[in-house]
Amino acid sequence: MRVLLYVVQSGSRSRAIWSIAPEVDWAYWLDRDFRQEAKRVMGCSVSDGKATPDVPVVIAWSEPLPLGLAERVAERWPGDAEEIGEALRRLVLGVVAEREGREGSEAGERREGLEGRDRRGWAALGRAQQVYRASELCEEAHVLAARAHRAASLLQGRALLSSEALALLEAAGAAGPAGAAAAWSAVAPALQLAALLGRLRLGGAVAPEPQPRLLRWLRRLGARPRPRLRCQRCGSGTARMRRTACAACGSACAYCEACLTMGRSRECGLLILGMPSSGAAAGATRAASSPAPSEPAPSWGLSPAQAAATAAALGFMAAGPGRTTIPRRFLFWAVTGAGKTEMIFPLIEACLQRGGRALIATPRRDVVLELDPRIRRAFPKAAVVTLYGGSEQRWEQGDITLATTHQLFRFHRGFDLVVIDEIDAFPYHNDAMLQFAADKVCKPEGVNILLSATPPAELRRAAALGRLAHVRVPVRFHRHSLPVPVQRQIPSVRKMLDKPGLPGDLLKRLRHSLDRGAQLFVFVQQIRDVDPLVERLRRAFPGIAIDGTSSKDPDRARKVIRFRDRGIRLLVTTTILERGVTVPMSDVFILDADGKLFDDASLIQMAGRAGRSKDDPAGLVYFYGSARTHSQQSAIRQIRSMNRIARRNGYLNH
Amino acid sequence: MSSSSSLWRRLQKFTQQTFSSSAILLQPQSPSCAVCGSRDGKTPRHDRFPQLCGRCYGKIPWITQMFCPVCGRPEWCPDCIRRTGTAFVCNRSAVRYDPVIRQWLALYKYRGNEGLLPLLGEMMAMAYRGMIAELSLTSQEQVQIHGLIPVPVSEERLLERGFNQAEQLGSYLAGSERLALYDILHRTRHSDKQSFKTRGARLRDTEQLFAADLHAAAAMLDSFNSSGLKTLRLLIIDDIYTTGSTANSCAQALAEALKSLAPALPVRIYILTLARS
Ligand SMILES: [Zn+2]
Ligand SMILES: [Zn+2]
Ligand SMILES: [Zn+2]
Ligand SMILES: [Zn+2]
Repeated sequence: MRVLLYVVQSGSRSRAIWSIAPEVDWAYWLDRDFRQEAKRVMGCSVSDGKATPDVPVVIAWSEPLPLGLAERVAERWPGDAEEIGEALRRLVLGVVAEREGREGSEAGERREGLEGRDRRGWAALGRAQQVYRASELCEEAHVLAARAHRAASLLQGRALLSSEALALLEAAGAAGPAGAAAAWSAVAPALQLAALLGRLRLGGAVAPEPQPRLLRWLRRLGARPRPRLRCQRCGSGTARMRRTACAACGSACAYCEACLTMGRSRECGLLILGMPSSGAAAGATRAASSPAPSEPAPSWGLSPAQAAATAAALGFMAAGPGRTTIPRRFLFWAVTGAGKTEMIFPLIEACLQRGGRALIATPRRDVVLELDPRIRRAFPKAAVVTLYGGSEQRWEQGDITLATTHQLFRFHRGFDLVVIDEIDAFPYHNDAMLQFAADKVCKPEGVNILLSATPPAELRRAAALGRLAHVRVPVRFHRHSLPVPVQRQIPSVRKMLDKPGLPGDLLKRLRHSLDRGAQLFVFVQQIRDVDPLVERLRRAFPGIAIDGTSSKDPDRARKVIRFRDRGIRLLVTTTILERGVTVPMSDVFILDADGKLFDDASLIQMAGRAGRSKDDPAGLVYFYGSARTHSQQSAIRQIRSMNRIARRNGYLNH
Repeated sequence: MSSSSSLWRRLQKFTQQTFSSSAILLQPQSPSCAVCGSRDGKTPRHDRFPQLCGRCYGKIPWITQMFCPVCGRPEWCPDCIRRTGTAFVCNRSAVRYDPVIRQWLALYKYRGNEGLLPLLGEMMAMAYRGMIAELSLTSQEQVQIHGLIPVPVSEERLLERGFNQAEQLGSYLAGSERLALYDILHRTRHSDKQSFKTRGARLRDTEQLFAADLHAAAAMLDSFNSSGLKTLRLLIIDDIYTTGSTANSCAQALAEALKSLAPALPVRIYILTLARS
């Protein structure tokens, strides 16, 4: 979109601002009664008094400019400029040239209104050009400010594109006169007023990264570095941007391909951030008055290991934010089957008790759907909002929000407690987007809880060096130690399939597991190995129900259910089932355990499928491979170390 | 003093070079399929559609035979029989508007994935070449198209979407087939979403929905003057052909404008669309 750029001058200081509804700005700056009434209704302090004795002068650019361009000019406006009109012209010219490169600048100049008889391109709006008469205005200020107030409260903690904000306001019946179809032109004035009063922050959805000081300094010397763009919604950088001709702003405009499935985030598109109200301080007092729990209540029924970990997290939350400007992080390093959901409940309870809002983010939609009834049962009085692609509750606000990862992009400093499940799983794995989203959705004074059975090396290192507060939950809820994988050497699956039969050692151990009545997971690296291996195993074990699945199998869900119900005894699969699927009494065979697709985290997760139930806590795990690799050693070392810690703390009960 | 200022100059030059080259990073070479994201490299990719994986390429519902010689429909066609005063010679479409194409077009038009343009544009180009071959065969001479005219979208939709799909497809075709594109038509009013209307209402509604800009049309005619052409052949470009009323309304507006500007010049207007519904 295009926006109007103007400079407000009061005394010797000036500010450049851009607007999506300039008539509101004119009234706000040029009419003191309007401004005071708006501030009063929005609950801002009206101590205007002598601070601004004069009506400021407003000098506006004659043509609406592409949002990105106007934003850059506003950012760089020198507050002490003297010849406002000329300074504005020079700055707009400079930014046009920077955006288009030298060759394109002439066309750009023409388009942005720089060309003309006197190449002035700007027009003054002075005292003489007040837009409203005072009498009409006060009432209008009142009505508009009430709408702005409503919109700002509804958008608080959100980060939305203009189309999304419109949908949210429409869903709440706040998009304009009742009955009429919601239109952007009807909500823009209210949003602009809320922005002028600091309740919303309006910006380009794709915008340049903040400039390091060196660059700013070089720019003064005449260099024109093209700033690197970043998607303000998902945090993706230049590599995920595509620049196309854009009819909405009339320039070559970049959009973000990384978060395209959530609506198009683009350079001239608006990203609306809802800021906390000044009334937020009241919430903080409430927090101070109610005592923070430091132990989980016994009613949660936690095991000693779970209770100790939860107490540590509660202590961390209660410690207070100190002077940080980014949310503090706390890592829950909990083994597979530790019962992490139960451990989170007391943290959510503590957050709600202090009047805060909590978010639980998890990478998979099925986990969200599975968590939903458990959360509602545990917190019957809380408003729970569950968000995923196509969720009905998309625009609702609640005490507890459950969301898939992508939904995080639609929030901005909205939560006091953010729990991020499976930080090392797709789509987080090695993904800078996670860090960006997690930091962004949490209030700066809030707490980020990270959950993982296999934290990435970088987090493990930070924890070991004392730079990341953390707690380990070294034992499963049933208080038995983790099965330690047994390493066996056999040829690779490829070689195995080239020859008839199967290695004797493998056959013997498969037979043993089948005889003891276990369910068998057989993991392979390649999808193409699944079917031939199934054939081979069926021949070796006639009469046993054997099947295979992979990410390409449309029948996967059905087969997993049959496997759980023992309709299938042995399931050959790829890493697609490394997490999430829990089958009582299962043994795990990992073939090609030395292959490069299985890193230590993946091996630990697959091994974590065994021994999950109370009735069969000691499942069997085998690493089969032609070589012993670092990943296998590391996985075994980590499993052993967790068992050792559990034993030392007296968490094991055998 | 002089040495330090030359240092500044070198520093400036360095930063300028560094930052102008970083702009090239904007479009990474991505081997994953433009539609499904699969990185499957085993099934060979089609030379003209390298952005598609083998599976997705196999789903393209190419129109290989027509029933109706006017609109190119692959089955019996009541629309062309019913219509009177058809202002165009014929329509040809690259593909049938099946669920696959509906999804691809939705990704492109509504979700704004402009990365699909080369794929859709190449599909248009295939249909264009087929159309020229067919016309040349029936008229016993090499038929030449003199200009492409995209069907306009309303101003409101243009601002919301950021682009006009017909204009983009036309530009792609203009580039690949070395043709000229003329933005002559515009919408006279904003029509409501077509999908909510009955067929009759849709047919009535599109009458006089479009108008040709006489100055732009005159400028186009001027650009042909020197070539001394006997018959002017123009090709209207759009993404979807449904009843033909949009195309016909455009063709009428175009024909009227040309008639008033050059009454003696025979004009033949053809339609090329990506998908036939
Ligand atoms: Zn734009
Ligand atoms: Zn993005
Ligand atoms: Zn594909
Ligand atoms: Zn027909």
